[in-house]
Amino acid sequence: MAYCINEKCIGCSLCARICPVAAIEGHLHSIYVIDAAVCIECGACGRVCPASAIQDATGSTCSHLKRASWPRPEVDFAFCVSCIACIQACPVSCLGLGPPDSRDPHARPVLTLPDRCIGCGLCADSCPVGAITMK
Amino acid sequence: MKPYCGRILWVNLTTGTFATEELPESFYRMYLSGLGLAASLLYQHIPAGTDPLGPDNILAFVSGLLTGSGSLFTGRWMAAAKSPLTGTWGDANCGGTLSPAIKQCGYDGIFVSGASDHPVYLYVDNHGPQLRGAADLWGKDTIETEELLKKSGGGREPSVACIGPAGERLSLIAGISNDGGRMAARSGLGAVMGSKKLKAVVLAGSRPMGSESPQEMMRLSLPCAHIATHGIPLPSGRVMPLLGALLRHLPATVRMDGRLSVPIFRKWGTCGMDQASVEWGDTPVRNWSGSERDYHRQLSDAIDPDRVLAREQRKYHCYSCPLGCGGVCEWQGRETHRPEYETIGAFSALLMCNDLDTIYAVNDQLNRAGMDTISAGGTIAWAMEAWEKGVITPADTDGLALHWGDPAVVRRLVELMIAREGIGALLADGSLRAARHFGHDSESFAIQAGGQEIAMHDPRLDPGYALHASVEPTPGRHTTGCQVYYDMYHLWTRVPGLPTPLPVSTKAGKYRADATQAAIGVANSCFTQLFNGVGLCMFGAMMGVDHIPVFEWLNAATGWHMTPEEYMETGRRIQTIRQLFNVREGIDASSLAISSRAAGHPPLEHGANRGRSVPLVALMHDYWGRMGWDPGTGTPTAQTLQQLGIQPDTAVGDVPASV
Repeated sequence: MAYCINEKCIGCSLCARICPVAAIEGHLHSIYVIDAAVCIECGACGRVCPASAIQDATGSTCSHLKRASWPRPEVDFAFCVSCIACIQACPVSCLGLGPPDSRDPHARPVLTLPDRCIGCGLCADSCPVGAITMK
Repeated sequence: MKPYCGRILWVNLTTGTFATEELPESFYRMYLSGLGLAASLLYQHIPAGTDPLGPDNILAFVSGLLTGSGSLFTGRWMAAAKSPLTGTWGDANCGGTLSPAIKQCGYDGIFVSGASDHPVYLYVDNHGPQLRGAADLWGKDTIETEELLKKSGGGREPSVACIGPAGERLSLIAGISNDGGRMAARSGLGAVMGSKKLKAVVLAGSRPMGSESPQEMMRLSLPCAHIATHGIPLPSGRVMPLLGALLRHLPATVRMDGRLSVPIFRKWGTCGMDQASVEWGDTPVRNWSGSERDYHRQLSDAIDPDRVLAREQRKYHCYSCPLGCGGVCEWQGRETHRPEYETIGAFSALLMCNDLDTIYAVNDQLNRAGMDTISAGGTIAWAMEAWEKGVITPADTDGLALHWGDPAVVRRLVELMIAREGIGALLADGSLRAARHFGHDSESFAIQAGGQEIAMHDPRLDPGYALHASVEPTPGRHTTGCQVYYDMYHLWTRVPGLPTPLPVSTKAGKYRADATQAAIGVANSCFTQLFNGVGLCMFGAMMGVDHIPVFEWLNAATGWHMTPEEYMETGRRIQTIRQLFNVREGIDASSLAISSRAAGHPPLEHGANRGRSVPLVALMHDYWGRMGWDPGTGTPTAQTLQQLGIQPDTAVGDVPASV
């Protein structure tokens, strides 16, 4: 199941512009459509939609959220094992390796491009040791 | 969600078309994914007698079943095809980031058939595959190519697998590079890619991966992560050769525990073992004719692990690896991967060279060219011995004198091999072909198996290396088994009926050919194919299955309830399919045995391995019989095929039509 857009859509195009995999198409002032075969269920479209026109994979209507309130990944370095699963999972490549410190040459992931983060949580879902929480 | 995608991508480069093939769950239970997937489909679709560099050969890029499932150490990807180097089944294994990237595009594997008439690269993202022109990339090295292609996507930064000039020039020892010079180096598969004019595979998908039971996966992963990131603090690298010498002098052999390798790999990476391995007789010296007496401590000080590490800027982790045995270094103003154990061994003791700058230089050159450092070093070792014996003369080398250990000569030969110029044109296809060109019995000191140079682990120290390099369907491989690996895998703690090695045993016992050695050899092979099916790194496997829960991960990730014995049988099925590939090619399995010198025939007269000979023929026959193959020929028996559910039909299936 993928996300879908219902008839409340006002055709503002914000969802299409935020979608990290270009799964949403449409024309201004008409109802946009999500390609279910491409959608990765990141939820960015739902958070950006001002008309509550987007339903998630369970059929629940997504809530609009100001971007400043979107959750961001926080990495607990005490648990992180530098396995880069989070960096690989990120659909917008906003995570990268930080500089290693003088005591530990194993670099840890950091939010290198925070403005690009869409708060999807795929990084946290991918972490094998639960070192990432979305806050 | 399932940890596998349930479908593969077919790419026909001749027609420029694509097809998707769905695979049922029953297929994954039979073959897992990874090499099991590749073996099953390539056996089905590559016609017997195919020219490895022709359009009928099929090149597979496959991910592991457990990649992306929440498990650890499971980020290995594999390439497979008929090998142009050995003419046998060919595969190569690599870390980096390509394994998850294949799955993030929605496939478990990408199978490339046909050949393009112009350079192309394959680009895949969530929208599907495209073939794009690569004329502007042809001729560029692997790092330049990857850097340019990483800018080619519209969304996330893609993962790239590509060839360099070696693959383009069809060097039979060319590999495929990923993530800045991690190399699927073996079997000459870079030449297969070059023959198809496929410069690169660029994967920019971002589909989620997962498992049936994420919480259970994490519960299993946490203790494993703890072991991989904690270990005893280690002293200076000066201790390592002393440790090696101690092991050499011990009258008995001690059962190895792979957890002891964790702190070594975490601190130094594989280069932590080089100097020690020379001392205890694992690293070959002077084209396998010398010992630690020749490459003595004053020479090997050049590869003191602390010296190798001095250029390291940070550790390098492959996908899902908590250990981080790789290193990113600065070399001539650019980032480069730290040389690994094999590269250091091949360009130090094997050549009697003690110049660390040269090792760094050729490591960077070969990674950029996309050429296997094991085969390159082994071939240069052959050339130096051939020069010493007068087989190669100044007329063959444009006056270059191929003296042992001369750093300038080593660098020049690498340049010539990459450029395929002068004598390098011959050496770029490996030592056996060069020996056949020059004759004068020089084949006897081309140290290889089936045409592939064997790696830097001496079978006279561990006869398991001799056995596995010889019975592997892709011959000459060091990662497929040995006695020490069996010690470390701890398979007897999970698989009933397997022999438990004694904590301490006599060294002489290693050189017997008996039922126990056959059982150990078969268990190694089955487990190796199992972990190549799931994408597990061998260094993770070395922690032992009582510490790295591969069987438990498999059931948690898939929702299956299979026993360790059933998973080991899956490994036997994969190994048997790979062997069937060779049988269909008409290959005499006994012809793949390693060179006599490396098996101790005649034995060395001095050094750590003096007087040691491996009863290789007997070991091979015992292994074949235990595997359920004909003990005389290595051909899988009809009864075994029936047991494993393999159709003994050699008919070749059609590659799926484009959709």
